[in-house]
Amino acid sequence: MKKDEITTILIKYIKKEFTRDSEVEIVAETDLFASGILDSLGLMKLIRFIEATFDNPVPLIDILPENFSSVRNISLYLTNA
Amino acid sequence: MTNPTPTYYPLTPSQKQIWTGQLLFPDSPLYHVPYLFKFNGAINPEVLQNAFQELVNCTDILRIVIGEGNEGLEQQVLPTYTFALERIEMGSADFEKSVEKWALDRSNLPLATNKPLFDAAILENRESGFVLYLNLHHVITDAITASLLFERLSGIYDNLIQGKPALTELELPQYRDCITPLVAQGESHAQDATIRYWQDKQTRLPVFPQLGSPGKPGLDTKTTRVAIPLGSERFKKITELLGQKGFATFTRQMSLTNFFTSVLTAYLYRVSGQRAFTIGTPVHNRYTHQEKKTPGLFIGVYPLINKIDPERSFRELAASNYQELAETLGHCGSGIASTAISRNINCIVNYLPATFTNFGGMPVETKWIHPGYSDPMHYIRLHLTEFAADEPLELSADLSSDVFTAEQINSFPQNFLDILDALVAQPDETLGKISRVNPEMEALFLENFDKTALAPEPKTFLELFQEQVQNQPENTAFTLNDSAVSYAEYQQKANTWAAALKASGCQRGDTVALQLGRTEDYMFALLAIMQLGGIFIPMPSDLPAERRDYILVDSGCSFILSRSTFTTPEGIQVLTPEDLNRAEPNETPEFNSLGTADRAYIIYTSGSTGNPKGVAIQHGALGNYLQWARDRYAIDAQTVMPLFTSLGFDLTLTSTLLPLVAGGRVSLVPEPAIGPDLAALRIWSMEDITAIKLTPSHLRLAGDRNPELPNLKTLIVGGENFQTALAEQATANFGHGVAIYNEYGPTEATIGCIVHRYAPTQSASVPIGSTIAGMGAFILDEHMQLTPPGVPGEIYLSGAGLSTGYINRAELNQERFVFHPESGQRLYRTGDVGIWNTDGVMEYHGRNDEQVKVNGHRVELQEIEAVLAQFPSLEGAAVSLDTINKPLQESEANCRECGLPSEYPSADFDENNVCHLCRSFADYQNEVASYFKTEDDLYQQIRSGTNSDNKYDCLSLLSGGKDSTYVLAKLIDMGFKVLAFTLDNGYISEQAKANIDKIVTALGVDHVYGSTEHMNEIFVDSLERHANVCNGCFKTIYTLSTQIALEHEIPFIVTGLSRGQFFETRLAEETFMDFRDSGKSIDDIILEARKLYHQEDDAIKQLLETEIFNDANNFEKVQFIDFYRYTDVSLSELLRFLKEKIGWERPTDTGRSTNCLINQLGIYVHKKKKGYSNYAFPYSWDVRLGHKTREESLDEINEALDEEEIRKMMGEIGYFEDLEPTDQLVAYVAGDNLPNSQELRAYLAGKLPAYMIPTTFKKVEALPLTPNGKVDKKALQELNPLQLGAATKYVAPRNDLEELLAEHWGEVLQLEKVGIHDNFIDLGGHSLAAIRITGRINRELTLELPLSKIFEHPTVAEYGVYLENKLEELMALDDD
Repeated sequence: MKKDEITTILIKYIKKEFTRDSEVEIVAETDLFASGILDSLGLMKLIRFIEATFDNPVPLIDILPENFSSVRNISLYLTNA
Repeated sequence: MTNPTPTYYPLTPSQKQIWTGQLLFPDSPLYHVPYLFKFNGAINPEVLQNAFQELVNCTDILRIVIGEGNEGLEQQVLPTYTFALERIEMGSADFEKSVEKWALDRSNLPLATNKPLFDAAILENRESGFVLYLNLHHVITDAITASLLFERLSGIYDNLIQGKPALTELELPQYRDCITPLVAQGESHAQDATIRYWQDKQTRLPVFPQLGSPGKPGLDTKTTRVAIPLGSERFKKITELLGQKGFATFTRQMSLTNFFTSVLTAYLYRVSGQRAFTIGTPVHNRYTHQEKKTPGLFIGVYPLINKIDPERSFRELAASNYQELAETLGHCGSGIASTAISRNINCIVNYLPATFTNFGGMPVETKWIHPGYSDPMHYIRLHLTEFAADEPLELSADLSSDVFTAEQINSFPQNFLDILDALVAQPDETLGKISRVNPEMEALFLENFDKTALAPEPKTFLELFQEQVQNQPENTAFTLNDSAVSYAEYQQKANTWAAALKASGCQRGDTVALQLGRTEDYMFALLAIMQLGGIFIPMPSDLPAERRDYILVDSGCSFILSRSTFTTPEGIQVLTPEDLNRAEPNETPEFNSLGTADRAYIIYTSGSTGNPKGVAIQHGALGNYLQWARDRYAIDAQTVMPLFTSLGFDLTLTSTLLPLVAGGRVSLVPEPAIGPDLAALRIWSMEDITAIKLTPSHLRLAGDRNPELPNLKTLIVGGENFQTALAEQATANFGHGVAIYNEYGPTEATIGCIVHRYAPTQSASVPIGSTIAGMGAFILDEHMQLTPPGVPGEIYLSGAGLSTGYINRAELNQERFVFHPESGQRLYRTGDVGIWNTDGVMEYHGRNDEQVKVNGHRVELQEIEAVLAQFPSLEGAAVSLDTINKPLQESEANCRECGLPSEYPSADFDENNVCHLCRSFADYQNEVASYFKTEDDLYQQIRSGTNSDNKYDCLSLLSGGKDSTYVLAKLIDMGFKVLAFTLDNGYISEQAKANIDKIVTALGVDHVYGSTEHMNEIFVDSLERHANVCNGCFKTIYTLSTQIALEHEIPFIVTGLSRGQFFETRLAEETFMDFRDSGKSIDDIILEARKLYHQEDDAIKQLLETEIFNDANNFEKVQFIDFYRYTDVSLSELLRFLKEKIGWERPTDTGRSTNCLINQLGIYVHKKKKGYSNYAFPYSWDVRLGHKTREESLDEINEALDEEEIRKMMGEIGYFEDLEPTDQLVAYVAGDNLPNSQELRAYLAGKLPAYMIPTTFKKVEALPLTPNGKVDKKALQELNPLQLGAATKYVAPRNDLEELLAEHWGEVLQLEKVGIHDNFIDLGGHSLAAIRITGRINRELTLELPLSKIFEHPTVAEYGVYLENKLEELMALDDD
């Protein structure tokens, strides 16, 4: 899957689950933790979604801020994996 | 954004759970969450009051009222609510304490349900300042809520102080806006995978381990909160660890939660031994920014399944728990985990993500008050709180009073920290090796239980005895009835015997067996052998010869002293008392100097291999016990002890030897020459005895015998678990002046080594106490680690009393005698389970193998027994775990010849894998061969019995299968006029019916279908009686076809039974072997059996018209002929014939080799209940007789079963038995006035958790005992389920005749034990069994008893009387 597609899917999911489609702006670069969109619980939920949607198991060891801090980083992580 | 309408909302899933819990315990403050906020600075209380009202105004949860609406529970948000914040003046003395006390009391008051669910007040004192008390019901709050409210209040207060307006509701997020999404989430889970995850997880949740206290959890909301002081030093170490691999997670909060979850997992493992746990993790469930800012209940608790591998380290445990935590969090969401899941969460690790920084710039101290109650399903709740950033993490635990004793609660913080410390200190050590107790605790243990250093001066029995001979030679050493032997006489006689033994060649170090019974001779022999330096083996007088010889050879005996001579194994000499008495009296003692290391005796105890094992005990061990016991039990010259228990039991050595080391007297109670040993009953009238050593079972015998023992001072009880109820009864019987001791000790540690003087106690069993001088006892887990107080472990023993080992059992010695890995002490591993407590007392918790698992719960059988024993009219109870029903699987092995499965009852395969049936068949195959005849014989028989007036010559039973079709075709072929009969049992396949029509048309034969409206009842009855459907179907066919035959005057009914089926229904080994010489023809026997067969009181007899069978003439009018008795046709020939004659084809729509659809239901039930197919036995005969190959038979037996179809049919016929393999607790209760099962169940229900309540209660007259006086559980378990269900009590045979009968009944009916009052029919007896049993008895007693007698006298007892009369009659005839 291309990065763009991944980005679109992830942003859509995050908006639906974590901002309830409110007017909060989310772009690929948004820092998901600093903005308070994700905490550890939200992250685990997002990872479950990623694993299921992209059929890409995420080992615990990969759960690092640099991999998941933004949609862009997640896309990078997924496409480099 | 706030929406003003509607004001009514449903409850969210989490709210529903909590409110339902509250409704279950309406008066309990179990969901109150009270806080105290102490302001460290000046507060304006009036402003605070106003601010609080503003808080209520702008926060909807503070205006929520919950009630029952039209559609169930609902919550209403009141538009306004005026709450006057009370100001309460407290005394200045102990301000903080009195505030806490006030808060606790106040928080225990119920919150009114018609008002918003919170309470608040200002507690103040001029000198001490202000404290805000705020208590919210959990249904409107969670940890984050508390923080948010505090923050709002602080903001409002600030504004008011500064003269700014308060916050308005519209500016703030409100709970009511989140209700809809929270409810919706619970109703529609976005992903199916999530639903599956929880469904699957729900089935895998491990149950909470049992921690030693048998409470009934889940009923009491009372909990105790204990602080677990971490301290900064320890917390620093933990923090360091959390940065390391395996412990580090994504966030600090997660790392902390995971760390403490892992410690709790390890703790539970270390205290329980269980290896998988459900631990609940509260999840805040706030996903969006708005939710994170909304006060209200969002939290849910989700289960983690944490598993222990004892070989892995704490670091590995933490890593795998993190994996589980991450996966669980990924599947969370409001309302996703069902209530059923929540009920299985009994432990919680709760990190409270709440901080209360400051209030209007003022520092605040926050306290979370525990109201003393919480959800009764939460046995352990571990709380981690960090209310202020600069304060250290605080750890506390709420422990349920249902599950934990007060002692366990008090010791919990220390136990928990001990394990935590050990884990943190050694994060890479395998978990199994992590120490479970701290050094102080270990020291306390050793002080109480390791007394190896306190051994008395080593002395042998001989030395101790000699002192008595010197000091009080005239005292009586022992008595037998009226004859008394003084110490001097005893010594003298022993000298003579020792000399005589020596003259016979007995030397120092020789082993001498004693089988003299409890006689004077036994006493003389003991002393003589010890003087010679020999080793004695005490043998009970009723020891079977085979076992005796085994012991003689195994022990390397040179001599056996016995009352009579017998043929001994080679090299062993028998000596009788007469032989020894012939010697000249010898005044000079024959003394070989003995050391404490010299072997004194060998006692044989039962071994798991079936052969007894010899335990060798040296003099030092014996001397250690005797000296200690003499002092402890105050044994002196006035002591009289009865010697009445079995000599082969090491417990008996106390009565034999202990009085002799104190100048006291042994009172011999001999065995009778013949008949049962009633010594245990006789002692209760022996007035002179002062001390008794006995088992609890013996003591129980005293119960209803009004013992008259005016001199009794001491009861020493040993050998098995001693229930408190029995001790209480003994105290009532003998008075408080009698000291009752519970003495624990296996033979391997010499008689007794842990002892306790009974005093009234709460526990169900009398503790075993503490170790005797010279001995050490340890309670260790499977990794040889000391268990914490109150936690079960295995008892290990050490010290002077330890045996040197088993005779000739190197492997067993290695297994049972081990070395402590740290101290290097030699230990004996008892296999007994015990616990210790800090008072220095041990409790016995049964055998290792008495600990069973019932649906995952660890159950001590003994505990149930002890509780049962307290029921007034019970005289005894034993509980065992029996497995009922079998898994559906192919047999483990099949006979190489005939394919008989190894699961067939009493199947016995030889080394070539040939079954017992095939082996013994060789002995009578000629007789069997002569039973079979030719087709010509058949033709002649039918022809001669019929005439041309008959419309039909015979009725042919036609099922439509190949065998019966062949029969019909052949009969036609032979030229007979035939009426074909088919039973339509409702399950004949369509193709089979078409086949039948085709056949009868092709053959041009008349045909009738028989049927009955009662078929389903007959099926169910057959399933219950025989675990198959065929028996019921066959009998229906016989009954209906006989009716038709009588009606049409048809003289013969021809069956298509296979030869194998003859052996299932008509023939048996006994038919050929035992009636061989009876002069009766096999046909007569079969006819006799057939008459009885139709008298059996089953569903057919009750539901069909069976009066025809009451007239013996009818059996003459209609005779049965088994076609296949007359032909030896092979399968291929048969099929060829059918194909050519009528184009017969095998039906394909049954999916099986049969044409009957319900047949597989019968096979299924039979396999489930008995473990093998009901066709296995007849097919084995088909193979044995050459009518099937082994492979054909196995293919058919192992045909796949369609379980879905089977369940459908079960529903149709109304058979609803649960066939899943399950382990059932069975209680065996003894007594005269026994309560019924319901009463017992109700009684236990009040005392034990549901899983500990036996499913079945079996009444027995008395609990059978092993020769050593312990309850014989094996004998009880051998009682068959049929017997268990019956109302009759098990009574063992009382004489030889009954024993003979019971043995044959047992063998034929395939039961291990038959009680003399058990009913033949109830035990599954039928006519073939009657043939077999009668045959056996006839052969053994050379009689000709008719088969019917067994139905007339259907119990062993009644039949025994009949048989005895019969024998007397015959003898009288002989005399004439």
